[in-house]
Amino acid sequence: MLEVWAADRANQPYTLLKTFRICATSGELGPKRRYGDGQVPEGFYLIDQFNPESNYYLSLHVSYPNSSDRILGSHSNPGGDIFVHGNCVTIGCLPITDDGIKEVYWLAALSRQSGEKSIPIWIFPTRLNDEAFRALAQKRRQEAEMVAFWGNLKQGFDLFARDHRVPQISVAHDGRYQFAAP
Amino acid sequence: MKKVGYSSAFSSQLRFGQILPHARFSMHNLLIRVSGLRPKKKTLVAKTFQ
Repeated sequence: MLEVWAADRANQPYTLLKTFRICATSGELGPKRRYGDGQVPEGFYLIDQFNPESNYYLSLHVSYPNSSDRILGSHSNPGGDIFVHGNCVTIGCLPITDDGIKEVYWLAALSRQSGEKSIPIWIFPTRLNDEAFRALAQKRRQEAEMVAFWGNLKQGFDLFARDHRVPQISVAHDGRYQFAAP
Repeated sequence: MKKVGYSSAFSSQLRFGQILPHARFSMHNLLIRVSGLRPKKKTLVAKTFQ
């Protein structure tokens, strides 16, 4: 699911406005690490471009690769061109149908025109509450590095779940996300 | 950055109040959260990116 949250001011709790179904995916659970791997990025990104002339109705560009991806992924060719868009086809993108992107694009445009320069978009493999994380970690228990990566994402997920405020996010030298209270 | 364009017909058709009638937000702050990327058995693959 793709959820849109909003707040009057950055230091106010965010409220869930609406959810949209992601109607197709590619690859497997786990982050995108290189060009052509078909993976959907997982991590903390920004919507940094609006494309009203998308091949898939409308699209919003996701700022993959971010600093973490550049450390943990392919240094020479991490790939890119990741969008939230219309239609229902994908290679590593997030299609939410034409009707869905129409609303999300419009909300993002409103936010942009109100002065927000970049809109956070956080991508998690699943809802990372304790129960779901335990199930995911159990299923992929042979992949310690992957589970550790998801554990790092869970820290940000949990912080937002606690009070619905957006933490400050940075990236450490080893590619791990670091979080601080807003 | 390309200009964001909306027709007047569209913007009047989809007002914010229709999405969440009881809420009032200045829309200064937006967050998009994706929680759930479980792969499906049947996935259509785009011919091109974007």
